[in-house]
Amino acid sequence: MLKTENLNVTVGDKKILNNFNIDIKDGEIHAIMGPNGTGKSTLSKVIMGNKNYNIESGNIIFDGEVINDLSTDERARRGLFISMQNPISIEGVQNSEFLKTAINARRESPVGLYEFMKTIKCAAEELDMKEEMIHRAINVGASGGERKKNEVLQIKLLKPSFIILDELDSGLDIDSLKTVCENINSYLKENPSTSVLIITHYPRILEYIKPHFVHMMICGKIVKTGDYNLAFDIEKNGYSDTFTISENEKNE
Amino acid sequence: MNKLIIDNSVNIEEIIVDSDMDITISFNDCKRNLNIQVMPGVCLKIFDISNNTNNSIVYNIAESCSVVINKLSINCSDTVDVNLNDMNSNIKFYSSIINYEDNEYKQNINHNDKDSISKIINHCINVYDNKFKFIVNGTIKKDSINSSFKQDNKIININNGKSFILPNLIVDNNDIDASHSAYIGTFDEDLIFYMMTRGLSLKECNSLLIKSFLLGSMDLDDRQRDILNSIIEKVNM
Ligand SMILES: Nc1ncnc2c1ncn2[C@@H]1O[C@H](COP(=O)(O)OP(=O)(O)O)[C@@H](O)[C@H]1O
Ligand SMILES: [Mg+2]
Repeated sequence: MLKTENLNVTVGDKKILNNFNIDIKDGEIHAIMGPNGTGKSTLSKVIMGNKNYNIESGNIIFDGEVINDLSTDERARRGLFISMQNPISIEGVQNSEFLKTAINARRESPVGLYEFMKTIKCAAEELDMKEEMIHRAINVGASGGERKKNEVLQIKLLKPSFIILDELDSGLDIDSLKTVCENINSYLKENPSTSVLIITHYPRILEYIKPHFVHMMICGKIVKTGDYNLAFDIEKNGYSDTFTISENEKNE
Repeated sequence: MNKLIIDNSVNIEEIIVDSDMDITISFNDCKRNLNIQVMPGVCLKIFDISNNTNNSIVYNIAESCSVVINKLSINCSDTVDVNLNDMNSNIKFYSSIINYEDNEYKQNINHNDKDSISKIINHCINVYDNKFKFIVNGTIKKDSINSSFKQDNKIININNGKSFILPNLIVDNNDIDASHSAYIGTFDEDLIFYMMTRGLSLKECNSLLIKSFLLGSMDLDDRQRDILNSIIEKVNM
């Protein structure tokens, strides 16, 4: 599904991703945990083709094809999706109109208005979102939690095959996190070849969406990979042990 | 409410509005002068669509009036003067402009008496690498105590246009609330990135953002909004 090969990424003259390698197969759920500022959000934006970040070397490969030079919208239409850490608000652009345009960008002929409204209302209800959200401008006046729900609403409508969840749990209270994760799990059940990359600080979300692999990321690279239990080791012991290892590697 | 339509075929230079009125102005390819006198106590709504014009429109507003102007200009070099001549009048004036050639929009807002309020929003999309200028003046005379002047000027360049905003605020009274702002640039790249991550092409992103930028602040009914939306959709950007 998605693979990076020796990815080196800079912003300005600052190196952020450092020979970054990950290989996520169809239907797999991976989690990346790492301290603040380690490059997790950068990774997710680079995968989506954000032009602020320069790929100095290395490849991003999606379904067997190098996508380094694909535009962001093309990546999205091929099935990549990012639920952003801090979803922005867009004054004057209505949620439903935006989503309709996004759905139509993936179709030969435009979706019928009735069918579309039915789908979006049903999805919003499953997420416990207020129906008026649909008609509001994107995230304008919305709380952190409402914004995160809106991201997941988009997953349900746009049906991506590769999903990045960047700090999905931030801004969501425990009940909302549960609702949101249940929605994601049922999406994954219906679309079992979908792959997920969960980026998180806390293992809490991993209790709801169980990863097959957990990676620890320090200073722009993965320093340790394990199973679900690694997340709880990290929570118990902190990143510091592994920090030392990575510092040693740097000095070599 | 009385309705009046003024287009190229109506050959008048002065209108006296002495009762509440909706006026639709629709001018194409012309150079004309129009003087609109708003008599005391009148509510006036203007819906103005101008295409390729070089017009001069003057609003003289008397006491206790309420005026709303929604003006969409496509490739125009118009001049609009608003004179708030007597106390207690207010105007909301939304100018949205789509520009493709070298043009300028001159606007003079004059507060000539106390307790007058103006809220002005000037938004332009400059499409090609042409020049566009806002020359926007606000004058608040000595007698205009307790008045308020708020003006927001923005130009978005889609393709490296050369745009200028020349704002001028002359305030001859300390007891007023006056502010103006100016922005020239492109749409926020974070907005574009967000929209593109959902599969919208740059063109589709621009189209949604342009509609929101031009129509978002306007005071329109549904029919008017539909008309303007379809005009904007037809413009090739
Ligand atoms: N657009 C940018 N311009 C400058 N520095 C950036 C930019 N994006 C990220 N960085 C820097 O890169 C580092 C990694 O940031 P980020 O990827 O957001 O980390 P994380 O998500 O792991 O907390 C930080 O030091 C951050 O300041
Ligand atoms: Mg982050």
